[in-house]
Amino acid sequence: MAYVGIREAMKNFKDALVSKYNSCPPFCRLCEEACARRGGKGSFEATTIHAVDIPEVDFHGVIACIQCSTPRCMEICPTGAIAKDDVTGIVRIQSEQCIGCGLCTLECPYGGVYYNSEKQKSIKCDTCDGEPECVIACPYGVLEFLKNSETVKRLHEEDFLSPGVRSCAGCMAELGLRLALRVLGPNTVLFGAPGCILPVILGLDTQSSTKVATFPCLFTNVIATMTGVSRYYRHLGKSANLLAFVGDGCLADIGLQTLSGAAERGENLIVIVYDNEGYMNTGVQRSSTTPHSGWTNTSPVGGSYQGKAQKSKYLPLIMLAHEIPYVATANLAYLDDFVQKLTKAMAVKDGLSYIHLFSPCPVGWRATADSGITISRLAVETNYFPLWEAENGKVVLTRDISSPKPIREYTKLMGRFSHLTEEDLNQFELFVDKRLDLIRSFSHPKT
Amino acid sequence: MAGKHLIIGSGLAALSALRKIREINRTDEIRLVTMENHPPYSLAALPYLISKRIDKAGLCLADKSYLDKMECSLEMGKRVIRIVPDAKEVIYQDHSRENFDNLLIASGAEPITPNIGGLKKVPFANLHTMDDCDRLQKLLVGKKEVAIYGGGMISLEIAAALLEAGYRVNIIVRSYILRRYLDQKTSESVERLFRDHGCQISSGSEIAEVRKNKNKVEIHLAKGGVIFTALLIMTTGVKSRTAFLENSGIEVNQGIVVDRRMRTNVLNIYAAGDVAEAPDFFYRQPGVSAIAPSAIQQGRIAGANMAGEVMEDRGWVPMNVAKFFGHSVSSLGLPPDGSSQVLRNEPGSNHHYKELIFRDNKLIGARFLDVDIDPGVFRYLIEQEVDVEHYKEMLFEKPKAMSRWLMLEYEKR
Repeated sequence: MAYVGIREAMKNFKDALVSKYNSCPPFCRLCEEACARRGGKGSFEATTIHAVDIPEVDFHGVIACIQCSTPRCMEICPTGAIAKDDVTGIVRIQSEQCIGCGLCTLECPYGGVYYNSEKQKSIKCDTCDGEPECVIACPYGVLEFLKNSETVKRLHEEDFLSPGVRSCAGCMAELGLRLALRVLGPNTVLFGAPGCILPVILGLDTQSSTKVATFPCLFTNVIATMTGVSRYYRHLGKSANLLAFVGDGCLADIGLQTLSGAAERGENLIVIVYDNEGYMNTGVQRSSTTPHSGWTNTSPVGGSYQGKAQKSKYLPLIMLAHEIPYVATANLAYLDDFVQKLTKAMAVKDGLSYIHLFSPCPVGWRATADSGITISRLAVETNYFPLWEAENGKVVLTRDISSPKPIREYTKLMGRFSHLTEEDLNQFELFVDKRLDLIRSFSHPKT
Repeated sequence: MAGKHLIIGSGLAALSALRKIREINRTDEIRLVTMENHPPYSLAALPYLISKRIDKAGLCLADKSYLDKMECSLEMGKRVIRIVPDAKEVIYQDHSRENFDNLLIASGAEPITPNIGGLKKVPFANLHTMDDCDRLQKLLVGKKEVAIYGGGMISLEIAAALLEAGYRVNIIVRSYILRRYLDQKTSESVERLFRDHGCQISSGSEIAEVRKNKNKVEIHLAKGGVIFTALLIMTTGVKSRTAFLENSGIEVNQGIVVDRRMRTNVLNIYAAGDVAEAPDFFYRQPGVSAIAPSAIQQGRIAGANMAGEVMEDRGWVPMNVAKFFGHSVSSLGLPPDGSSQVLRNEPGSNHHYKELIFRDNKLIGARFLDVDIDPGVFRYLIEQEVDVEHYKEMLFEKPKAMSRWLMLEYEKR
């Protein structure tokens, strides 16, 4: 089977107009009015965003083109009038080319293309060429325009991990490392420690899987080794991104002291902890970041045991207390957010940057191999894993979830929580709320 | 699995398969061969060439730079006359041979010309290929009157195009127009739309005979009466283009018989589009679905399977949209039958008509005339078998908003 690289996949990661589901004030038409007003900017006066109001089912939302990655409207257009912009991903109809046959309206399942009977042509949202008037006009925060093409621009063309690597099917840490290297680029020295990703870094036999300088270390010395290498680079008058990509077992547990020391000394390192909430490659044992009541082989379920009896250690806030220049949490369901955070971490020159990466392990969490992204997204949407960052100690939630989903939406995806009763889930929810409150107590409103 | 994918045809199914193979695989060789002497185009655009809404130059679906990007070679003017599955080769009209590892037959369809007395002696045209279109445009020069035999979507699109271009148009239809999509009453309101634009329509009449009379064509109707015209256009349906498959061992019925992965009975040979007879969505009954959406869907499935993935088609749903004079007709899914529940309004003077057909808790058909809806969203509700149990009446009352809401709710899963 041929391999479709992350480079191909990221091509589909483009600008998007998104809306909060069912969150509009009833019969508000501000977005439609703005769309109709835009006059000379777009090619048509007719609106290409539509409010959908159905009081009978208590629904008030909006619908507009979502600029599909492989637009079916484009595939069927008999004159090739529909094209997708390579950079921004915006799907446009060239009006002169459109014959008004209406086939695109038959092909689009999402209500994103419309037939304008007056002009006898099809019309659709072109995001006002990247500055949608509807988003500006919406005072309720329902509409948001994601400039994902800006994110993609920050990525290096080359993939610095080889296509086939020795991680389990569905491993999210591997995606995290791959993406991190795409952002940090070739001038990076990668440090690893025993853990799931080490076999990936080491490669097979005498061949490495990485295309950047790579240094496999031990649990307790990885940060100290980085410190030494950074001093050596300083001595040579060179600079490079020194990146540690290690697991929670390494830095939340065994090597925490060296991390704390380097943070306090102000070493200029980038540390990413991929948190899969346990010692996964040694056969799924508990770590200090395994959540309360989570099953592992050393926090079993049965008899008087109901998974881990202790709550998890929250390393990001420990790192915040070190008053380092940059601390963030990241999640692979929010790639744009992760890329932005990596860019900020890379820009830090006067101290340590720390990113805590949520990293589902389908094997150890007893989930299906294709569920990593879904689990990641729900971890954020249920507030189990809040996304925030702190630049120079100023904590900001980068995804503020106003109406979180119930925690069972998250836990039901994994076998490690299958023993939880209704009561356990309520308690789980309390732990989640408590941690969020703790983060919020440090946070400033999003600017 | 490095290999060579040979695709016969360059229409929508062929191009769709090409895209899918390349999405999965960048290294295999892909070659398109077509009997046509024109770069890839969509025949859905042909009526609009007649109305001059677009010119030929604007029609190319895959120019050289696109094919280069897809690393695909295209050879035009090459007609396959035989396929030899055992040798994994095709034989062309010039007797040259070519090998393949995987073969996709996407050779499309050809018009059916009914058996009418005197037809050979009068000027008549089809509109199914670019060559037909070129020929028709030549035949139209200096003429003012055209008769169209047939009453399907394409017939009406051609009629509308010709009316737009100032011709006097006569439609002759054996039953009534859009019979496959509308009931007779609604069809009559579409008929009125055409009459309002100066079109003559003779329904319920077969052509018994045609005669040449100086520069005119005399069309004698079976039910009596004669129509005088300058040119006759035949739009009485199409059939799969399969003549070259005789004795190849590939099973042909109405079209090439394929399974839900677009595989023929012969290993490594696939078929898609107008030439394929694939299982339908509702009954898994084989049939030819000669419409653009099916061509693209089947091409995609064939491409995936040729590239080594396992992908199954849900089956084709009958559907079509037509636009004329700013009016729209959409028809999706099954017509009503005894076992289905139907919600419909009587078409009034303003032509608006809607009809929804349900079976159990699912929508299985929808027809609209001049109702502002998203046809694709209704298609989604049918194809995804969305449960509409409690919302049938509301879907009928507020089709646009409710269909969108049901789609959004279903997407949320």
